[in-house]
Amino acid sequence: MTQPLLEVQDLHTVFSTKDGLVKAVDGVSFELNPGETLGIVGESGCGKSVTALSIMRLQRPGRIVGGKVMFKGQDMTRISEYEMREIRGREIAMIFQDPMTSLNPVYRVGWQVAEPTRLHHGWDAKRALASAVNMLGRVGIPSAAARARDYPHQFSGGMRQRVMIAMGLTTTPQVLIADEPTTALDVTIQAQILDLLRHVNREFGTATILITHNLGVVAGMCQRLMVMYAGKIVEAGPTADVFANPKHPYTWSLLRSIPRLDAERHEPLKPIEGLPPNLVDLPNGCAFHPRCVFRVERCQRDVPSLLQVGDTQRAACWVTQAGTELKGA
Amino acid sequence: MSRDEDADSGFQRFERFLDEWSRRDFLKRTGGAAAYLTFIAGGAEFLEACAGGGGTQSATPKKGGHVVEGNFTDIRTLNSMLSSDTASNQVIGLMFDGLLNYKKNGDLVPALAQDLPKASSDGLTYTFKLRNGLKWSDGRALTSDDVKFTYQLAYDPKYADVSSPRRGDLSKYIKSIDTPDPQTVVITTTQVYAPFLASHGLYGILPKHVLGSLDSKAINSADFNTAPSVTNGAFKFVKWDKGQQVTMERNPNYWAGASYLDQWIYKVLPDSVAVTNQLKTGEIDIGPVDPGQFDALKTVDSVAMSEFPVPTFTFYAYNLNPATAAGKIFQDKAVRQALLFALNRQQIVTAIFFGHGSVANSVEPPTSWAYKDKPKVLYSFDKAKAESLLDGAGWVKGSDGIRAKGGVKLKFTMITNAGNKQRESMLQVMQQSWHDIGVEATPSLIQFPQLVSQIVSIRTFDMFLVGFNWSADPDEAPLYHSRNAVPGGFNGADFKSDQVDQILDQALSTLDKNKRKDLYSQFQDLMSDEVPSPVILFNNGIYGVGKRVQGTDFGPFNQFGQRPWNHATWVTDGK
Amino acid sequence: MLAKYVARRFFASIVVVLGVTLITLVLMDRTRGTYVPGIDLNPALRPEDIARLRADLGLDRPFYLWYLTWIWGVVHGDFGRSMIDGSTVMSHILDRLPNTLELTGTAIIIGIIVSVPLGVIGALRRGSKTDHSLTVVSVAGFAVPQFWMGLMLILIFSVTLEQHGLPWLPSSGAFSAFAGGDILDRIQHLALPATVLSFFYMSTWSRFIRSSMLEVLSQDYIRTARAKGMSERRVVYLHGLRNALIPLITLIGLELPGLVSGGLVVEVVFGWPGIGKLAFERALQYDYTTVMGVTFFATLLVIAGNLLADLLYGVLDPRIRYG
Repeated sequence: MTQPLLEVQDLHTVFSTKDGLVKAVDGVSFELNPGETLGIVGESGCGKSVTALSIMRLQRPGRIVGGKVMFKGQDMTRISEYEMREIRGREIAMIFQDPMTSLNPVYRVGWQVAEPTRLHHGWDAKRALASAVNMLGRVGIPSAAARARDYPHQFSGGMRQRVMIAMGLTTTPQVLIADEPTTALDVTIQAQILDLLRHVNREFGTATILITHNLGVVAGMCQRLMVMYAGKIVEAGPTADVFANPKHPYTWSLLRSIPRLDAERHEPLKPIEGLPPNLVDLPNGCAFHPRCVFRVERCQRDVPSLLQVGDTQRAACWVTQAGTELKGA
Repeated sequence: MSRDEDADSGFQRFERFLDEWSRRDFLKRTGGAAAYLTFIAGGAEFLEACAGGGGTQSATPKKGGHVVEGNFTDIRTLNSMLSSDTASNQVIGLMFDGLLNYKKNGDLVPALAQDLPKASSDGLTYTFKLRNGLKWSDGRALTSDDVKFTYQLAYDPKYADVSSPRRGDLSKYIKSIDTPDPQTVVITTTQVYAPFLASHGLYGILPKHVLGSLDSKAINSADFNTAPSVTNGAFKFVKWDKGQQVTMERNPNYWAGASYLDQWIYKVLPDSVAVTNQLKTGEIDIGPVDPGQFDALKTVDSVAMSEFPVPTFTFYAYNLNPATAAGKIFQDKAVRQALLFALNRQQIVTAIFFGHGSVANSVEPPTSWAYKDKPKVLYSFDKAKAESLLDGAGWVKGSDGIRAKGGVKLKFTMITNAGNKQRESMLQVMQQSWHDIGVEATPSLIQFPQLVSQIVSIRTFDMFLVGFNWSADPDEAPLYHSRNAVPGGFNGADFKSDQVDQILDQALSTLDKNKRKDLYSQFQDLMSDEVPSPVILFNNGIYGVGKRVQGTDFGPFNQFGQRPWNHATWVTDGK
Repeated sequence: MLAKYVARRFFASIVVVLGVTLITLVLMDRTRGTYVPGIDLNPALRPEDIARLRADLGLDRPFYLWYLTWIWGVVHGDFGRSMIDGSTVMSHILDRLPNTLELTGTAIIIGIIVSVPLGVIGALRRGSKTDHSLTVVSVAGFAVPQFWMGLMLILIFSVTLEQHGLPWLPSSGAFSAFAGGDILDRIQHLALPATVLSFFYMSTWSRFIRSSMLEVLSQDYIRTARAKGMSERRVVYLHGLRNALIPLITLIGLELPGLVSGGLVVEVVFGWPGIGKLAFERALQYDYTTVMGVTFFATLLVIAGNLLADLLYGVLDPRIRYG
């Protein structure tokens, strides 16, 4: 068994707001193995982005108040900012959701893509630019050399995301974190970008963390996935298993709510009852229980831990840990 | 090997120690020397200070250096026949001499002329003999042709298009100018005109060899007017930095002798506070001091103050045009006199001018040879008398405290120009003083151009307050002769008196000084009774002069221009 | 096409210049009354002289005729002569304009140099004591009237320093009477007036930079820059400031017209021989020709300043392109 590349252990990140303390990441632990693609799924506000930012130590104004993030034998929560900067953009790269605003509008694209290698590898401008142009070509931007002289506003959304990906890969990082990379793009472009990410993962061997709220995206891309709710992981396991046999009511409800082509015409959609939790004022016990159709008495009192349920999956649910299967209409 | 190294390093250390030690010592010694020298220098200064406290003519004049003289307005032109403002005349006076000049008390002295001219027995012809060897700054001889040319610009119809402000007078009074030889000028007047020499004998003479070939229009716009290429005065022109200063340098060909100073600079300053500041810092050497700044400068060691009465005065005028509402009120002599009696003019001098002036007893300035100290009617501050005069004339106090007669209230508006603190304050004093005797006088401030318009042409005012100044001659026709009451003239009060007209005309048409004095005595008596335009005070001129400047001799008639001593000024430090 | 754009602006500006100069003339003419420019209360002047002078200056005709004559002259490059002193208007302008540009240009440069760091510091240290004290200084800077500040500085740096025998700064003029154009002397004279004038710029611009910077630093591309692992300094100055400065250019561009007129109060207080002071004095004296000439150039400069600002904006922000 190879060593995990990245190991997050009981990470806690909080935000102080005027309404109270928000535990955005509340005890999250997982591993990322070399070459694999891990998906993190959840609603807006469940803590998936903050988890990723915490790994990169870009969580400000939030604070990491507990846990470890082990990478190459170091706990990244403890190292100096200077050492962290050596890692950011070089060993671990991150691309963001909105490509329209994630690129600096006043600098040429080629210059921006070349920046990481100039900074981290110390390459001179010419070499860095040549490498950038090469990368742009590889991510599927036609006439890369000419386009490298263009400004971000001269690219379409999809092209810009490709640029972002190129920018992240120039230093051949070991980990690529993609935070909702396709959410802001339309569907056909989404597919292209996902193809690209898959291709990149195969060709470069970069381990990828793919964060999304879209289960469909996860299905095609990730070998393993984690489902987060209210700052905690509620289910984790191989994608196929989780989809076939969800072990947490939240996952179950999510899967059920997806409209299906083979459903009856007049069947109403099945949304999840209730509203997402108020992170300042979480319910007692399991955070999902107010919306859970399987809840029992205990759920209102005790917070469940993420434990093995089934052969390959883990889930944080009293009900499934007790052995009950999730079945319903 | 190691022992050598040790020795080496030890030696180096020792060398370094020597360096340090000698540097320290060196510093100490030079420091000591410097301190000693400073002490000596200071001591020398101290001794000097003890010896020559603010001396005027203590030592022998030194050659070299400059003087910066400050004033408030920029020059407009450097052509003596085109200029009408004080600043231009002041700077022109440094570069161009006329036939005659003034001593500080107003006596005429010869300048380019060798002596004061003799007048013919009929009083119509003046013969001037120019000095020998007069030269322009470029070396050419200055002759009677230049003199004739200069005056022609104003009186000769050939030069009718030259915009000379002197044209009115000169074309009226000059009949002809002859130049029988290069050193003789004979001016014939059309009538006997007493002020002729004093008013028209001082114009800076212009070079015919530079301007003579130009026609009238070209003369108006000649470069010479803003950058005179040749001069005949103590200094010649170097540069005019518009809005900033005019720089002049020594003219070695000056008839009275080359100036001691290398340069004379006329500098434009924003206001009287700047004058004070810059006299203190030494940025200027000479400057006119506002009465309010006098105390601030008096205590400054490096500046000497020079104060003297000048023919500048502030007066207010009653609108005497019977067609106006105010005119109807002011027709009454009792009203005119009463208002003057009710005014505490000494208080104005003390409070507004800080004592730097004198209450006017007469319309003639105290500096004039024709001044009568006690004319027929003397006006002291006498409120009771004012009230009784008004009562006697039928102006009765109404229930609102304001006097009225025949349904007409004794109320009017007084105008002066905004921005002049002293005049604004005076109006307030007048308002208060007259309120105390039941007269409602309201101050109104207007812009200076509008004030001039009012005085000179529009004349819808009730009363105006303004300042004026006379020249050396006691003639006061511009203000008081009826012919100047037409629009365009300065007799804004519309004062018309046949008797006064006659006296003024007579006094102008005789050259007999005694006769004139007698006539002006009658004139002052009349005016003290009629008081159409009461004079509140005559000012003192105050000058601040840096103590390093020697050889100046300011006086009532040598204040701005007409200074025969410019070339004799020198500076003690030669810088 | 850039040339077309500039040409369009040029033609529009002609209309503006005509309008402004005409309005200026009307204002002067309506308020002048019967005053003849250049006349002091000089008893030597007779009514005939004054009348002749009025005719010479063309003031006995209706204003529109005067205006047409003037325009005709301008088209031939002749701006006429001052009614007060007879010097050509061009000589006055050429003499004074460089002084004004020197003063306001220096003030703007000082303003930029000081306001950018102050604004950046305020943004980076938002909420701290440093930020609050900078805010107070800024507010003071544009609340304090220029003439008061000018007089205070003169009092402190000219008079008081000199009284104590310390090196002092001159209080009026652009150069010492006898320094002959020495650069150091000019700088000494420039020090106080330029400081007063720049205070206003410093205050407004530093506030502006601060808020612009705060806005920029919250943008996504700043997060991207950090994620690329660059130092905070590089993020702030290379990626952030460049964007934050763009709107400042518009502000500075809006000040370019003020290059000519903005320094008026300072010029008067410090006796600085500039165009502002000239226009101020001559307007009060109804010197039509000089005022019209200055207005003409001032308007041109305002227009040029605006155009320059717009073009600069296009240079700095690649998203803007003029067609």
